[in-house]
Formats: sequence, structure tokens, C-alpha cells
Amino acid sequence: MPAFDSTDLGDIQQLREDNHNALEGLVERHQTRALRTAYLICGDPDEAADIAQDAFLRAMEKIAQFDPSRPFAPWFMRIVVNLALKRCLTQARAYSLEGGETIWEEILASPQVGPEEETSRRILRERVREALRRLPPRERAALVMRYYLDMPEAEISRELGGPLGTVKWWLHRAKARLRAETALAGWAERKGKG
Amino acid sequence: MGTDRLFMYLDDLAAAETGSSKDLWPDVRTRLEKQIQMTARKQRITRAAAAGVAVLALIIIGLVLTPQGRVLAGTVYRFFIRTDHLAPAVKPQPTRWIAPDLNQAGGDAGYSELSMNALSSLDELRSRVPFTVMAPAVVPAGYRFQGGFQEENHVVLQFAQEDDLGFILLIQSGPGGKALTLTAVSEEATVESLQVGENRAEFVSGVFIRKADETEFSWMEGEAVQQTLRWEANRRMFTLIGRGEGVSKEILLAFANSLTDQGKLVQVLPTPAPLSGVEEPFPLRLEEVEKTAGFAAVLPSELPDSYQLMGGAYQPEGKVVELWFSERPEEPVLRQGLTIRQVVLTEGEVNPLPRFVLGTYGVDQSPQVQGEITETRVGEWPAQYVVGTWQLEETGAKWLADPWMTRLRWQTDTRAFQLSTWGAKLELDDLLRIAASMDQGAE
Repeated sequence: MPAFDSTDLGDIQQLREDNHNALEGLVERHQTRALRTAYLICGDPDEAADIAQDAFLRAMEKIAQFDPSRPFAPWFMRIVVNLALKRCLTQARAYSLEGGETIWEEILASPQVGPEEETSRRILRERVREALRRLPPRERAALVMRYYLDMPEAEISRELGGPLGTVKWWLHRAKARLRAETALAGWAERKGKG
Repeated sequence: MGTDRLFMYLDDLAAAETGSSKDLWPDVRTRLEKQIQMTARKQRITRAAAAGVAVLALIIIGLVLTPQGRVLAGTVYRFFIRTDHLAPAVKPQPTRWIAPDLNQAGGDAGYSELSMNALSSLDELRSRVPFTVMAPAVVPAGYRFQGGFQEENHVVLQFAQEDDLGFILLIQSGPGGKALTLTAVSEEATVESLQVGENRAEFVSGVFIRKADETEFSWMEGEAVQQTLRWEANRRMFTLIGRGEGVSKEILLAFANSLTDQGKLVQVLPTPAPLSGVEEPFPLRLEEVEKTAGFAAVLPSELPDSYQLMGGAYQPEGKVVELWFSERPEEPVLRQGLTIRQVVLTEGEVNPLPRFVLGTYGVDQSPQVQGEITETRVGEWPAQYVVGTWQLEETGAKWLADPWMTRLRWQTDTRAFQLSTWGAKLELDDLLRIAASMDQGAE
């Protein structure tokens, strides 16, 4: 994770001086993580792109509130998480099942990996997606913040407005669910490899 | 599972779904330029509005200070408070169906009102709130009660489909409670008048939607969106919101008509696996089932009053015939009654009807077989009886001794049978009586 980059500071300074083009550098450096984080919470790639774009614009608007003595990435990712969570609750249809089907032609045509490996990988992804889909939005956000963004539990508790004990319980439950789903995928993998 | 591996799983999924080379900057720049233009326009409007206010203030001062001005002001005032027939007619709106400013309400179509409160059981809710919490006496097949929570002067009960793709929310206010934003529908909505008990109800099929590239909510009507049934009783607002496949006006009406302040919720999970067809688990007539199966089904000559054979199904795998007898044939959408499963046994083959296994099954544990299986007899044949069903939970499943779901299985030399109740209060004696009335010798 790009936790601290002195280039960020230069761009941030320019943004504070109303040079909007400086946003480009921040987008370039943080877009991948922003996009993936948004996707993991909202479950829709297009929606995730929209959320990430929103987050950059929101960060620019609030750049005066950013403390330059601290790294930019965690501050920015909190904006991404909050926007994704809000959108998720808005849509009330997080995690579409569309796009989950295996494209066999594509697997068979891929020269890089064998169909069994690719199939196993897809099964695993499907399981992870399914496990995420079944989590309530706030628990999903907690999971992503803890295990994808490596945020401390206390900070997650503050961000999501839930007691620390509740956050710990969410994480335990989410992890158990993922463990169960991926264990099944592992079984499928072993079975596939015969 | 290690943290590193969890990170890897999540990153792999997100990378696969979002692509690794997506450049957001062109879109961000386009939006940024639009935003800058809008800000400039807003500033111009603000300046113009400020100038307008200043001019208006001068006019008002002029009107108040001069006699001509006071006369003119009086004329203008009377024009606005006229009550003659030329005043535009007010378009009548359905009771309390409102289209609130959703953006002002937090921009989330009211779903933030369903904040992620911990869910409570029905009994807990009833002991906590100062008004009577109504609950359905029956739950449509395929739905399970997840729990409920209190939101200001409201109680919300959540029912989800087994696959989590659909849900029904029952939102009920305390006396004099106002509607939640969540329950809002557009003034443009097509409202159908219905009856829930003695109360007039309104039904709407539609939802406020905000697409990814839009800033405003718009009202969308039609099937496969959201269905809302709403009525007022004893100064309390009741709203049923249903989403997902299988939710229909008829289901919401049946659900609404079964509300009671007594007793417990009837759990009807797990839904019996449909033997043929997903939409209608019992689509065949008796003759069709028998023809498909190649044998005559054994039927009971004794059944409780009101029970009626509604249909059947045939499961080729295992060659199982299943017949559905409804306790409430007038409410066909409610899966409340009795199923009879039967299979002709061939020598040397295993009985395909599953044996009873009670206990708990979870992520962190192996199945724990426990609970009480009552050994009994149907005529000369040994039989087993259990009370309850499997209840799905976050971390697995456990056996729930639900008295509204009972099972009796037995096996003769030639056939295996299982009677299962779904939301019907039939106990061991009842099931034994039904079983005894079945002609065991039929082939």
C-alpha cells in the first residue's frame, strides 16, 4: 500500500493552491487500491469506478482538512470506504450475481494456465465473492478495512461508529464465513485435481 | 486463515473484477471540469440572488413608507389569498404517500434508516417497545425470519429468502407514528386500493432509483422492483416492503392478513427442496404425478378439516413422489400444510428418503448428532418422529425444535413414506392417524 509518498505532499500542496491538475498524480498513485476497495465493499466494478472517482473529487474538496504530517493514503481510503458503504446502503442490492458464471471458452483458450488451475482460481474467487455478498454492508466494510487496508480495529470502530467489541465480532464472523467458503473452494480444487 | 492469505483472496477477487490497468483520470477530469463550471454558475446565481434581495428590500421599504405603496401591497396580498372558484384545483393525493426530498434525507432513499442495528428476537422486541408488536402467523414458503429492530417509534421485522436475493420488511409504527422515508413512494405512483382486514390499504409496485451516473432519484415502476403494501390500523402505520423473485401482491396481502399480536412466528425454513421446477414446487396434478412416476400414489383417507390436495411433483432421482396438502387452500401462496413423500422400494436399493439427523452443524465443528427422535409404529411398521427443522445461522446450522414443523417417516416392505408439516400444528397422534389411514398395501 502506498502509505507515504513525498510526491503526494507536492500534489496536495498544489491542490491547496487551487491547481486542480495536481489531482492527476494522486489519481495515478491511488486509483488501483481505491477501485479495489470500493469493489470489495459494493460488489460492482462499474459502481466501484464511480465511487473511486467520487472519492478523488471529495478528497480535493476536503484537502484543506488533511493533515500533511500524516500519510495521505489512509485518510483517502477512509473517504473511499465511507462513500462505498453509503452507496451500498443506497442501492440495497450489493453484490450482483451477474458476471459470476464461468466462461469456459475463455478458460480453454487461455494458453498461460491450464483449465484446471484457472477453474480452481475462479471457483475460489466465486466463493470469496459469495462470502462477501452474504455479509451485511457494514461488516463487509469492517472486513475490507481490517484485512485489505490493514486498519487497526479501534480506527474501524471510530469510522463505522460501532463499539470495538461489535467490530471484533463482525470481523470474527466475517472471517469465519470466508474461511468456510474458501475451504469449500479448496475442496473443489482438490477434487478437480483428482 | 492467515491475514496474508485473506488479503491475497480479497486482492485477487478485486483485481480480477476491476482490471489491473484502469485509468480513472480521464473520467475524474471530466467530472472535475463540470464541477468547476457548476461552482462558477452557482457563484453567479448567488450574486444575482443577493442583488435581487437588495432590490426587494428597497421595494418593501417603499411600500411600507408611502400611502400608495400600502394600497398596492394590500391589493397584491388580497390577490394571493383569494378563495374564488378560479383558484387552481388541488390534485388529490393518496393518503400519506409522499415523495420526500430524498437527497435531503441523506441521499440514500431512506435505507440508512435501516441502520445496521443488531437484530433482536420477537420476544425481546415485544418486551422492549411500549406498543404491541404484530407479527405474521405464517411466513411464505422460502422466507425466514431474520430478526427485528427498533428504529425510533417503529419496529422493523426482517424476512429474507433463503438465497438472500429477496426480502420482506414489515415496518410498523407506534400509535401516531409518522412514516419512515424508506416507505415513501412517488406522487406519480400508480396506487391500487386493496383491503387488509377492515382497513383500506394501498399497493404500489415501484421504487426510487438513483443510477450510478445520476445525481437525482427517479421513480421506477414495474415488476421485479419493489412492492409496497401499506395501511393504517388503530392509529398505527403498517408497511410491507417486498423485493425479489417470488414476492407478489398476493403474498404481501396474505402476509398482512395473517398479522397477529399473539403467539410466535412460524418458521418454515428450510423450504422443502422443490422436486421439479423452481417457481412452483408442486405443479402436477395427481394423475400426472402417477403417470410420470409409473405407480399409483398411496393417499390418506383421513385428513384434518380444510386440508386439500393442491398438487404434486415427481423427483426422478430417487423416483420420489411428493404430494402437497394445504391447510389453507384459499391462500395457495402460503405453504402451510402437509407434504407426503413416498417411494416404491426395490429390493437391494437404499431408501432414498433421507434419514433424520438432528443437531448442529457449523463452520468450526463437525455435525453433532443429537436431539430426540421418537421411535414409534405405524401399524406393524417401525416409524420415527421428530419435531423441528434445521435453522440456518451465520456460522452454520442447528436443529430448531419448532412445534409447527413435524416429521414422521416409516417404511414397509414395499414403500417408504415421510409426512412433513409446514407451519401446521399437527403432532405425533395426528400424523399417526393420517399414516394409519393410508392404504399400505397399494401398489
